[in-house]
Amino acid sequence: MVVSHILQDHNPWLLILAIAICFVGSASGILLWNRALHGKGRSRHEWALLSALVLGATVWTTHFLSMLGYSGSAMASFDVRLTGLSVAAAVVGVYLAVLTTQFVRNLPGHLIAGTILGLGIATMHTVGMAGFQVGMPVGWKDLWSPDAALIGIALCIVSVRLLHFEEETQTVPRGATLSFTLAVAEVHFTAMSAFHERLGVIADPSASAEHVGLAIAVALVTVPLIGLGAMLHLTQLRHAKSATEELKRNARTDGLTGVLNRDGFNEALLRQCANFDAGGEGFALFFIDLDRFKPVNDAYGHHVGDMVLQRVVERLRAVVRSTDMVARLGGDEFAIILIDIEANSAAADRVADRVIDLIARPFLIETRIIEIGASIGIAEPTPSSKNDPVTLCRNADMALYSAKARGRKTWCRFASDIAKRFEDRVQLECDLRKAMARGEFELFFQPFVDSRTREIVGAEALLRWRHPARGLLPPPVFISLADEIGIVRQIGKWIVETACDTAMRWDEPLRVAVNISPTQLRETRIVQTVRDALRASGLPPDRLELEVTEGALEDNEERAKHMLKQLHHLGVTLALDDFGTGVSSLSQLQKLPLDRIKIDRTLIASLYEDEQSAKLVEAISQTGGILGLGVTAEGIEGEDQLIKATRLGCDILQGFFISEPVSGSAIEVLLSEAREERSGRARAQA
Amino acid sequence: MRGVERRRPRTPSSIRAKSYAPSREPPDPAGLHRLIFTSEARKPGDSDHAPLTPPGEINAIVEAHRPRTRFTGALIAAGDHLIQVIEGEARCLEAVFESLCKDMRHRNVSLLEFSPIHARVFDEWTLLDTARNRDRAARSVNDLLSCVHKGMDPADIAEHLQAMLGKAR
Repeated sequence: MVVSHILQDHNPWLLILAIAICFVGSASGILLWNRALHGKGRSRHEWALLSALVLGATVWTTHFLSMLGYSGSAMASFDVRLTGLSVAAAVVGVYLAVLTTQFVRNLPGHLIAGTILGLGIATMHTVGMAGFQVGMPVGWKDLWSPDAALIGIALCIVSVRLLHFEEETQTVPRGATLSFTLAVAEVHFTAMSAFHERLGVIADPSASAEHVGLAIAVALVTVPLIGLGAMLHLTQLRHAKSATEELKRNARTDGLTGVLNRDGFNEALLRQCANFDAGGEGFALFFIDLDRFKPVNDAYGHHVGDMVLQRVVERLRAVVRSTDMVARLGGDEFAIILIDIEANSAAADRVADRVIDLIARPFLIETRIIEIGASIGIAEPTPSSKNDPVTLCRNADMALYSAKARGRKTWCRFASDIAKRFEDRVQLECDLRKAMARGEFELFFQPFVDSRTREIVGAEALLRWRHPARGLLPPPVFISLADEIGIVRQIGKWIVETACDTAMRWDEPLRVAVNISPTQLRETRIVQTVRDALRASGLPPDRLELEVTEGALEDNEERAKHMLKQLHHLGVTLALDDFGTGVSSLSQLQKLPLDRIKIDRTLIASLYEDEQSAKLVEAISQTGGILGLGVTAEGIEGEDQLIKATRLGCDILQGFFISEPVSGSAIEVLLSEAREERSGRARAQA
Repeated sequence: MRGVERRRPRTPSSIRAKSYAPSREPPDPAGLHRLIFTSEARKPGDSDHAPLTPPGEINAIVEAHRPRTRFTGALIAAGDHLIQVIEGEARCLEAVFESLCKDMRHRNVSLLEFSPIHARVFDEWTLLDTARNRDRAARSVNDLLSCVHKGMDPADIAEHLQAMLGKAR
């Protein structure tokens, strides 16, 4: 019935326009209603008002245009007051409904709001109809349609419920929009058909030009209003999105330098790894560590340090492309991701060289000259390896460590042997720390002889580490590591003490020689250590010989000389080791409190091949003689060297040909053998 | 026990004495300073497309800073090698030098001098590119450069350059 009424009695164009506006307006108004529900503070009131305006205008316009389409009679006129009231009824009805949903949540609120909304629409329709005079008197009772109102209320309740469930503000809540449009349409057409039934009014569906004009005028007011509502909603949406993005960006950015921070870097790296695994281009990961940066903060304060960091970032940016990423991981650690680059490419190498070059150039800040350096570790994903961020970072870290170990101001690309070396080093460090406690260190002794009598006159103490798995290890394998982890002093102390104790156990008063490293010589405690060792063992000081290299003296001459003097005061003898390979001058030799020079083994090794070496050795032994220093030839590995060295004037000989390093107890065996030999000879002579 | 030998890094003595010396006077970023450095510039036409050749670019940078301070000094380019002396406000010199330090077209950047001065040696700012009049000018620049690298006193460098400019004009 209603449907046929709709189709017969309304002008189709105006009807279409009315429904279209209803739909669009509902969508816009409902989006605004959503904001009224979820907004905070003052904006809630503003959104509620706006929503009421838009929805109210929509509802009324729909009704009005339909009315215009219904009665085409030119006789119809409008009571301005009642028409105005009907607009008010629509707006107020919506407003009250919105308020209700803001204050009363969940089902009770929705029921009340739906009811108010439905009533509001029905009221608007009735009042509007009353204001629309069709040439005959109509009573209020005739205009009011309870059916229309009831169904309208039901549909409105549905709409409000759906609005609650379809809570997203980005997309249009379709269900709510649809049901609301339906509610408005339903109220109008149900009421109109009842009206038509009751009063038998003849409808003339042809629209006069006046009415069309009026319809367009009304539409021209309402549509912009709806548009405004929609635009405000969209603007807010954009604003919120950009605010969220800015927050996200800030969370990923380093405050001081403006590049990515650790979080941003992790994110970027994850993206690159995912891209690579999905078949995308390769990339290179650089871990960059600044050398000698901390002294800058210490010397000039953090504000200068910060400026250096900012300039470092600027220089890094100057090296890479705009598509590459620079990140500050914290402190003085940086990272670069070079995108779209093949593994092991020369291009990556070039970038690394440039970074090192640029960072090495001086920084002029507040009239100060600051020089730092950079070490770089490079890791790249390959099809055959595990390419997750954690692994790549670990690889880059190991490569960086390798670069630093190679002397810094250089770069190193990760390779599988680096991982192996790193693991080995970690293991070795672990073992080294326990070695002392486990008693894994041993002292071996290499005896040296008087060149004339060929009798053992002493032995040099040499450190060995009996590693549980790797066997007997000589110092070169572990000594720099020991220095790095700071246990050199402990080990040195143990060596001196053990050497003195062992020497005391020998039957004969042999000399024992102990090496002192440059590190040890730099510490004043060495004097105390030696004194305590002598006292504890009871070894006469003149039986202890301390050997230092020329290198130890190079660093800080004055201090070294002072230390040597103090050691000499204890009564021990001092020997200059590896002599002939450094740059010591004769005047230096004179000034130092030395007792002996040990000629470096390389000179002894080339005694026969090289005339120069022979001359040098001769000169050294003569110099020694003049200065009152003993001269030891180290590295005697053959009879001929032994003879020649003796002939050239060396008074003590040491080397594999004489004896290899042996344990402390083996020395005793050698001594007793020598004693037997001597007594044997004596008996033979007698 | 042996094997642990550390070697101290060798910084040129002219710079070493000035770094991290706590006894310096408080810095005055606006004070008159002299900056001397050498570098090798890559020729244009290399992989980086440079709109200006490096000497010209330095000139442009100096010009850009001109309103802030009076620059005097000289930039002399002989083939690939550049030697430059600039006198002016410290912070402006720092900015010019930093631009250079970010420039990949310069290699072997070597800072010879950056310290406060009482009086300028140069009267004006000159850019001299000996690419035009090679022979004598280029030779004397090269001689000067080799003296510089052997450790000539920075004050002498400035005076030498000033003298050279006088001759070139």
